[in-house]
Amino acid sequence: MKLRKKLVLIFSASYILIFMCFIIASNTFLMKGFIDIEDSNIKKETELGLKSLDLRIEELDQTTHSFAARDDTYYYIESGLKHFINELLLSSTFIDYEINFMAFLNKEGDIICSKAFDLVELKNIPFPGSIREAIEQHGVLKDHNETDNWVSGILMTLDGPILLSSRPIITTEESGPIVGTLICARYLDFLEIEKLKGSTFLSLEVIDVNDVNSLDLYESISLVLNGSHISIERQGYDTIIGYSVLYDIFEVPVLVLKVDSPRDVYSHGLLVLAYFVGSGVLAGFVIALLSIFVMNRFILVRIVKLSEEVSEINPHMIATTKVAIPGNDEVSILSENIDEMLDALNLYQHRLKERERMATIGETSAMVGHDLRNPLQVVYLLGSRLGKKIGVLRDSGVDDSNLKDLEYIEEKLMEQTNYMNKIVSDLQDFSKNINVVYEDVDLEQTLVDVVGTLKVPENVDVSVRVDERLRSVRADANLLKRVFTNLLTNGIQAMPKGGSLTVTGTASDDEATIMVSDTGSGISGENMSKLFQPLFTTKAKGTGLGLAVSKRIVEAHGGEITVESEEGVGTSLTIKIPMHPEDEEKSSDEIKVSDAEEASEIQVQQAKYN
Amino acid sequence: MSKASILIVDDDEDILYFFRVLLEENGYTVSTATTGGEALKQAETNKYDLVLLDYKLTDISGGVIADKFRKINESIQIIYITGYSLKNGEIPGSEAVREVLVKPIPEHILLRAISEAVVGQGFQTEYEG
Repeated sequence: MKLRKKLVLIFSASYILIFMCFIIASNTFLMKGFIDIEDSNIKKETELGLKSLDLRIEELDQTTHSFAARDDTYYYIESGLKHFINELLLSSTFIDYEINFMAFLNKEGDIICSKAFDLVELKNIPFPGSIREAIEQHGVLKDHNETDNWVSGILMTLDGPILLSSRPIITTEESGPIVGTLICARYLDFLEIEKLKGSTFLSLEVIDVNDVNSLDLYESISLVLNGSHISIERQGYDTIIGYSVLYDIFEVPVLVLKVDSPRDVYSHGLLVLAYFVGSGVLAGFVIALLSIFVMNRFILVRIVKLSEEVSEINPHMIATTKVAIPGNDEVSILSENIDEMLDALNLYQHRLKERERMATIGETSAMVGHDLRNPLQVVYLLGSRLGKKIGVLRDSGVDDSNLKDLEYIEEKLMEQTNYMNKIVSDLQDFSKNINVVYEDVDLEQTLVDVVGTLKVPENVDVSVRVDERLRSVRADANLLKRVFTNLLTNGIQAMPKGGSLTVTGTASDDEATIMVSDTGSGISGENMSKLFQPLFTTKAKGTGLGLAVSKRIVEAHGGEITVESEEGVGTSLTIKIPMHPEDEEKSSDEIKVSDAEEASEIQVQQAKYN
Repeated sequence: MSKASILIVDDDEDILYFFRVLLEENGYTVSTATTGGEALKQAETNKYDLVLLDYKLTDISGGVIADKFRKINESIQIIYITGYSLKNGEIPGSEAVREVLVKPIPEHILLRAISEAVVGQGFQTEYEG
């Protein structure tokens, strides 16, 4: 999957996740808060409804009390003369005090006077039998023992629920003896409900418990009956209902008070939540888009560019390739690192080529060397046969002048053969590993021996000065002889017009230093760098292997060879080898093996990189 | 006193020719062979004291052939003549190989090596160099 696609997916997933958390959190905390407020409100409203009803009942009771504790009423019961209560039975009394029924009972509990009034039609109506029955039936309404006894509340009748109050009839001074009972009542009908609505501004309803048929309502009421004061029911998003139960004068639940209320708080909460979520969605969307844009602009585009540049790298053009991405951040650092890697790769490639070249030189040298040795052998034998034949001819008295010519030919033949042999030996030496066989070497004697084998021209002055301590050094004498021969021969050949060759041997505690200085033509700066490369030579007759082999021999000893030169002044070659090699066993020149390993390592790295 | 008998094995005919001339002049009895197989066949029918053996032959490696010569004749001496410059002191093949000479071999070195090889066997040597 492409990085860009992944990024978009990750962003989308995170966005959705955050969004869901957001919604859940707001639902849990915000909406719960709103619902709590709503619950508290509907409870208060329902309580207000209950209280208003209680107040109405109390008002009715006060009215009844004021009519019952009245001398006129008292005298009426005692005397039976109706004019005492005429004023009380006026229609205006019923209307003013909102009374539907009024019943006067004597001491025995018999109704001696009663009146009913329709508060809607505003006219007298016959006293309903149902109410009469209820009064007769319930002794509690008429058995008042004390002057301050009273009964008030709700009573269910066949005509519906009524609010009722019963008071003992006493004198105005509230003294006995009790002569009877006054009962005033009012229908708990739509008119009464409208009154309650008008005073509380609530949406009220009263339902007969026996009429409850809806299951939800029944459950709500069961809750109330089981101890909860008020139960709450939500109807959709619009309405919340508070229920409470009304008890009659016998403490029997008879009615349900239902208070409706619009869910203002809740719907307002929903609106707030919607705004909240909406702005969250928008903000999240904008942030996600911005993030993707920024990621794309500052990272992805550049990585894609880098990737394209890297994929376009030509393995043969590493040296000149750069994948620079401008900036000062991880991406540009990555590009710099890739550049560094390319440089390193280039260097390795260069070295690898160099090693391949060396290996080829080695193989070629070995092959050419071997193939030249058989013809050389033949030429050698030819030369010596020629020498013998010359001897035979001289013995048989041939003219000496002719023989001189032949002798010169023989001499040159052998000389050139020897030189060819040296070239072949150099080639073969170069192709071989160098194994140092350590022994105690007298470097002074070795140098003197080497100088003795050289053909030193008369115009060249050779001097050897060696520190005594170099008379015993751990080294391979045969190998070092070849090194010295090479260096001294080079020095002599650098001074065709004569000069002096100085060999100086010095010693420190752990290092032997031999410096070979000539006063010859010197080496140009251009040639200095190639000096130790195989097959590099400035001589007409030279294989370019002498210094390359010398370097390998010195390095096999754990030493180093350096050169200083000034054109026209001379050249100094300096060899440093340890006086006491730490590990003589390891001192060998396993150049081919290690080269092969390193080369394969580089190839592996290249393969990985590609 | 009898002369030592020498077998020269080399794939170069010119070398065989000039070595034969040289050694015969110095009084040795000389046979030649250009391949390892031919050389072994000759060794079975003739008793040689010394073999000058080219290390690199076209058919059999000198290292292998040296052991075979020793099986045929326990006292036979073997000198390698080779175009390779072998590693320091390392003589491939068997104990039978007495010495390794690297081509081109100067006359006096070849003659000295041969006389040293055969002198131990009680042969007269004519080389005094």
